[in-house]
Amino acid sequence: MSVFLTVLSLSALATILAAVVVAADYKLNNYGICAIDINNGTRVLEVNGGSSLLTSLSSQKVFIPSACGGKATCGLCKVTLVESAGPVLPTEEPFLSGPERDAGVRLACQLKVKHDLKILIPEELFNIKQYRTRVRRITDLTHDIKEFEFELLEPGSIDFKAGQYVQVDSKPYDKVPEPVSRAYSIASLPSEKNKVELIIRLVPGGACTTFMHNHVQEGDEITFAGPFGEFYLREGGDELIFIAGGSGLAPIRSLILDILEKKLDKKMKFFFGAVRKRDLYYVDFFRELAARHPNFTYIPALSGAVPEDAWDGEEGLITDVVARHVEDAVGKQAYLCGSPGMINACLQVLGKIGFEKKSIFYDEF
Amino acid sequence: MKQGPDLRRIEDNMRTGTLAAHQFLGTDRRALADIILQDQLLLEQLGLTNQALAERMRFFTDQAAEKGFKVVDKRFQVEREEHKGTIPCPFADNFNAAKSITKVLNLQTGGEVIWSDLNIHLIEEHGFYEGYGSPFRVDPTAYADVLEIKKDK
Repeated sequence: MSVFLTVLSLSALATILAAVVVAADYKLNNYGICAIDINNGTRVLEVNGGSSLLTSLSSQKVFIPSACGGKATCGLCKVTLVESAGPVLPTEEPFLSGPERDAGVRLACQLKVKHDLKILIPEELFNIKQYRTRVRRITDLTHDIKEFEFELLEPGSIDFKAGQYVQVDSKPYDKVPEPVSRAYSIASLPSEKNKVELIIRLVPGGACTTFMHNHVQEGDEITFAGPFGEFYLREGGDELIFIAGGSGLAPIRSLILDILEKKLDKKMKFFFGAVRKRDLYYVDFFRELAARHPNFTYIPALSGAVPEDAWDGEEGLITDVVARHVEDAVGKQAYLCGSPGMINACLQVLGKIGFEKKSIFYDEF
Repeated sequence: MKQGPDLRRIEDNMRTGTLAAHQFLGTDRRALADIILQDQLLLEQLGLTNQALAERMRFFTDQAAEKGFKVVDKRFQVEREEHKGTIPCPFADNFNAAKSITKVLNLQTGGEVIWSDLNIHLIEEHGFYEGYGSPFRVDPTAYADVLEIKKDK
């Protein structure tokens, strides 16, 4: 009997203590309504305190780029605090340089909103919206690249510049219990405002590309936020050199289609590099485009063609092919999109040809 | 092996799958600290070091970097696949690796292994070979065999 009473007493004591902890947590961590002042009063948001700044902003439709879902592993969600909000957390330290810390830069995903805040963010982030879409069509382009066409449901139209990207949200699947978001460049025309086309290459082990390739079907609803990015057509340049590899073709396709549709007076050469013939896609599409537009030249090239490819086109590294076809940099701009290795190799070759850094644009993501 | 809060947080991040679908740990239910420790013990038994493995892997990755495909020393067929974007190191050390994969076929033995650029960093800096069941698990025994890595001692 005494054992029973002892157990009962201890259980009652534990229950009381748990209730006290819950009550204290509610009382102490109830930060009430907090004001977030953005860009010196341009917008002032009222949010419930206690969540991360990233979450608080997105709940008010202000979307800060983030690729890791708030885990402090991508370092993209940087904002500047006008007034200090306490010391930088150890989880933020690896992502912030000395000057950034001095300037008050913090990771929005790690900063909890406990009181009123004043922050600075790039103005263009105000134009970012979250879109609810339906997957209208999925097309296999190669063995590991698919084209997704999204019909915009809410909002029903999007304004973007050719070359920009959106951040697609995955849903929980298999062993990935949390949504993740990843950036994909838009491949379609800006004038087609009620749809977006993305080209997504399956990355082995990739959290979002695996979801898109293996778990999304036509008719499914998907959300994405955007448009983001600084990769778009700049002033100047009588002749444009486009160089892409793999899924880097997407923003280049959008740029070329946009320029042709607007009938801009520019010559264009598009170099697309792949290893084997099976890695090429949109070949007929671009060849037909070149046949219809004298100011557009399409040059696909293979770096590792094998006899069964029966390839009679350009061969070699795409940088070598560019060097053979581009004699000088006079009046030219270059737009690059591909893997970091390809970008670095292209920068070297274009530099040797005579391109100045200010005439070369590439997607750094 | 006792696992501190830092390693526990890193393991939690890996298991959420927000960085990679295979979560770095695959089907392995061991604690991250135990995975690392047991692989280090295995390396010691094999007479290898993290640096020796990482350097050999980097050698092949560099060989295929230029053209994406190469036969090395008439013994190894090396392919490299580059994807757009980067993947941050799950140990949150501000390292971002290109999403690139190297595949090596030993033409003498027929053995084949693959790894990502991030694998090289994880081995070199963190002694982490990923968990069992991960498609990017670098099994020290198999990789040393296929890549013909000489013992350090």
